[in-house]
Amino acid sequence: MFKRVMRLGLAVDWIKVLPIVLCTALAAGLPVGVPLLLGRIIDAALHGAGLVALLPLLGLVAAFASGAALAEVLANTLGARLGYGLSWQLARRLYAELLRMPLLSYTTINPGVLNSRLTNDMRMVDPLFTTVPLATVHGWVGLAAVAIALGTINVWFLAAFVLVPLALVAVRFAEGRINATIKASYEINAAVASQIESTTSGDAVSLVRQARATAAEERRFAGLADQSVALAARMDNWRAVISVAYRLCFDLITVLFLGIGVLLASAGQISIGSVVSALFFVGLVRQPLGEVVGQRYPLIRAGMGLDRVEAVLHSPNTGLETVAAAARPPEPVVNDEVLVFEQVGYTYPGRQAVAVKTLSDVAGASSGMSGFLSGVPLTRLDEADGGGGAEQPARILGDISFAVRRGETVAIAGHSGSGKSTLISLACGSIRPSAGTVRLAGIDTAELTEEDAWRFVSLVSQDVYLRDAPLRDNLSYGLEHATDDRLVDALHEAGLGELLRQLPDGLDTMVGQRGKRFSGGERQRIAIARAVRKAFSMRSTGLPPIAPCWWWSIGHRRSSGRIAW
Amino acid sequence: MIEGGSVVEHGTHAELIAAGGRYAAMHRAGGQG
Repeated sequence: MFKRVMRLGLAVDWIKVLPIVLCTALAAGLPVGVPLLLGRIIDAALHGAGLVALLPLLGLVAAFASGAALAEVLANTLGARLGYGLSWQLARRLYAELLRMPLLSYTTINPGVLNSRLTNDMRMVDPLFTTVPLATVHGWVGLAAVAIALGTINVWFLAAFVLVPLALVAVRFAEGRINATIKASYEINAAVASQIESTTSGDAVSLVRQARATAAEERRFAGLADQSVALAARMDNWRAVISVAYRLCFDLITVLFLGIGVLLASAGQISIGSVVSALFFVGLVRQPLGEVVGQRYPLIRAGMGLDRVEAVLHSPNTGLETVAAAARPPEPVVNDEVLVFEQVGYTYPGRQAVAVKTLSDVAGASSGMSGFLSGVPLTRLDEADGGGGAEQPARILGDISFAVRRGETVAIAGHSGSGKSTLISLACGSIRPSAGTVRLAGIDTAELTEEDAWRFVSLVSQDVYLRDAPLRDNLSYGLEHATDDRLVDALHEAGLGELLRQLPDGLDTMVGQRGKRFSGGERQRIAIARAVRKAFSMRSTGLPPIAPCWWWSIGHRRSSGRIAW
Repeated sequence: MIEGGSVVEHGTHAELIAAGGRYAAMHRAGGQG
């Protein structure tokens, strides 16, 4: 596991690791001095030493105990800071990868899965950087220190101590049973979460009622609940076995040590104080031994979380370089033709080509998409993998050529599924043509990153996505130096002047989740205002006033794309 | 107007209605509905 963590390539500051390891070793090693000193104190007292004579030794015991406590607190404080730092370093990388997938990939992924990956799974991985390494060092140093100390008292104690791991075989067996049920319990939990998510939203409930399946869903949930109860009971049962076996093991060791002690003391080989010391060590060894054998469960849990995190990090469909803006994007060519399609063809990629292992397994993901990609049916992606048969090819556009000149307004008409939305996605640079060339402002979109293509294009989709934030933030997102006057101008331009006057909080109005504070038409106008605002900013930054805006509207009965330049 | 993955007709609304082709047919169908 250590090698696996190292392979993640996180930036580790080893100078900071050293004091943590040192403090942990001190925290584990210093307590061993306490029983040794106590043995001596008892022997000295038995030989008639008074309290005053023993004060230095008692002081030393207190010093050892306090030193160990201080070292432990320090190790935990420093270790937590470094460990969680590393864990969040990994989370930041994961987030960066998840932000850079092909847009089509998101249609195969339920947003809840991404959320869980960055929260639940990362929390499962946390112990790898925090408690596990600290406990491992603390445990092994503690065991070694106890072994050495017992060896100095009498070699027979050391021999008995070596038997301890054998006695823990039962504990390990019970742990193995628990681990076998962990995986099953995760699967049940996932099934429960999936059922809740797929049945309890407004849309989902409506569907359930239309299918008259409310009672059936309740029965399905009850089935999962029964399985969960059985698993949880089995797990708690084995936990109890572990706890009892562990205690029993130590009780037996105590008896063994006492027997050895009495035997050796009666033969005059060791003092009474040494026997007491040895018995103290039985108590002292509990914590380090528990730490060494107790890491299996957290390690398996962390390993499962890390499996899923690594699957995202290693996927060819995450962390694309073609998404974020380039440091030096190609310069636009100023001519009359602002958008050109040259013999453009587009074939949907297969689901496998855009899927991300362990993320795309959950069905029904495309319901989470809004905007122009809401029109991408998952079946298209499945068809491309050969599931749809020869009569339903995944090819959507064959040979499209046209040019839009500055100032022109172009409408694209066609029946449902004819490829209007795909054409818009190609013109935005969000998807790349399978054949031919799309030129935006004279630049081949294949040479542009997605963010660079958006320098020239604004999109008003049929289903506008707004963030749950003030209206101002929605209008100025991604635009520096946007004054309120500019934003108000843009709203007027989009025909929302009257609405703005009616809003008591004006630009501070919260738009609500997905902008539901506003009607569908108003949301579209807000998106138009965003496009207008972008056109303003392009003019002010000296970019050629090309392709400032286009929008996509839907008619009452048939949809049509509209491009305004 | 796109159909079958290709541009089948192009022109202004008036031109396409006058030509009486696919666009005009779709427009009629929508208008009646």
